[in-house]
Amino acid sequence: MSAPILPHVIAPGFSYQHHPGHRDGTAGKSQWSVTETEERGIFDHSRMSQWLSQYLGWGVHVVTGQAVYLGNSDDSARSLIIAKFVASNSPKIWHGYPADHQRRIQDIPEPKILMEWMRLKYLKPAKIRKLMRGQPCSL
Amino acid sequence: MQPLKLTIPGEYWDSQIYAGRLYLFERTGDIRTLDWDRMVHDWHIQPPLRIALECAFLRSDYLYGDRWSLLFSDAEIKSLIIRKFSELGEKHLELSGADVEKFSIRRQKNLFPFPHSDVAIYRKNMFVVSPSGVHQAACNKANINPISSRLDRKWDAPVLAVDASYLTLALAAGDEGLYELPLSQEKYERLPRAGPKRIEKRNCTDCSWTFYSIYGSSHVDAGFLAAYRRVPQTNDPFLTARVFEGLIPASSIFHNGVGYSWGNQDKLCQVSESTVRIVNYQPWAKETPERLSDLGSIDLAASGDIQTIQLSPWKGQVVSGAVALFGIVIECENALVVVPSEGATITFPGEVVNWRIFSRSIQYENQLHLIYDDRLEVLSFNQDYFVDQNQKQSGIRHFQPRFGRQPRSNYKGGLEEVPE
Repeated sequence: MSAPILPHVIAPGFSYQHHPGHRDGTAGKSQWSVTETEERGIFDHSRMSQWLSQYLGWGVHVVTGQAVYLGNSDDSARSLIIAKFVASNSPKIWHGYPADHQRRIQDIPEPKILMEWMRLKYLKPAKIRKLMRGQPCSL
Repeated sequence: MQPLKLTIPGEYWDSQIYAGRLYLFERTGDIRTLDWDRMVHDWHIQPPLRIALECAFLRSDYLYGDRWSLLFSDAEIKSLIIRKFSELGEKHLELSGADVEKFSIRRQKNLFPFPHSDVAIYRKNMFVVSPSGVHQAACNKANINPISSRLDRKWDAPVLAVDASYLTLALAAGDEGLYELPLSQEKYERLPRAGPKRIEKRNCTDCSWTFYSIYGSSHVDAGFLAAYRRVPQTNDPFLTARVFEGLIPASSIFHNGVGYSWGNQDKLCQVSESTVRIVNYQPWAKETPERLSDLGSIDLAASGDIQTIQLSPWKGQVVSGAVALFGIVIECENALVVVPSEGATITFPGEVVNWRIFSRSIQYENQLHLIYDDRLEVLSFNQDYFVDQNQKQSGIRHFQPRFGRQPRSNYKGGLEEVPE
């Protein structure tokens, strides 16, 4: 029997638990390409940037001022750019996965988040448009 | 004939042109409305080139149709007109920042969710779709604000793309599928009784009307044609109803071809690796073999109504596509490609912020708007006036306007364009 995966306390009131299915090649689940430490860093960046609402949040992996790939689609056909975070109810523990904007419309962030990423120049406007239209988007 | 280009400086997200006004969605979150008619009328140009300027940017409908066929059959007259477009093409057409201000009707706060996914203008109303749903506002020139500040949320589901016709919005909702949202014939203030209706549940990232049918595109599934037929109403022979016939998968349309596909009116396209295939669509054909539903049993390659076009590998994966009167537009990762109805393929290198054609308009059907980081380029294609519309392969066929499809000076918000 494997040891239970314990949540990490990122900040007071913000616990984060890695979801093994998004790292072990589970069918139907997108896979992180960043390390667990980087994954938590992406979450913390989202927390500090106030891109988390009560139970839903969005993030990007920013390296030298620009978003870079953070995962792959479940079929390995696409490199993914956006992280989606969701929280369980009680106890409130967050987990996340690479969002596949082409396969699931619910994996596209709300406009105000995308506007913020465009303003911060994490993503070029052309990339934002492709994400919003569910179109292929490569960095 | 090379397209003409008019450049407007600025940082834009999207553009729309409708009834003499150019709507510029600025990336700051404002919408600037330009008096397009006045801007073109006031443009300083030599009088001999005025007709080319007006046809290129104000009246794409003017040179179409049978009324000029006799004149254009005269090689000298045709050559003269083409020369005027060519000479105009040598001019540097660019608005200055001061001109943008001069011709601005108003700059207003964008009250729609921003950035949006897509926008359509239909019967003096603007419909904006986004992850926040479908929003509508009037743009009927009756208000101080070019776009009314009274927004109506028509639907709260996330939507990727919209196209409007037949008093109906076609809505691409990603993995939720393709929807139709009927509009009231009177005002668009309330949802009609029916509400949004799911037409197909498979993934749909873009949609376009193909006459009274709808083509749904997808990058993760095959595209499909939601095929309808028109049924005359017994109480009024001038009225017809759209009746759903069924879904035709792209595999049937394109002979088991695989790849991203799209359509508009009589042309359906599919790209596979570096090849684009084009198929004619005639939903009104009485005989079954002539209708798309039976294309699988017809050797279109042998009959000549299918064509292949090569795409260079460096241009990258296909992102999106459209069919306009002037030709086929293919957006690749690193370039935008236009296959004009006549002449060589034109490549516009680089990644665009956004792009748009206006195939549902009357007077701007020849325009292609390309938005780059620092400007909007309004491209005007003018070769199609001289192309035999019955024989053209790239680009939708131009049909003679029926009653109600008149230029804006007489425009009464008329009927849809439907071939006999």
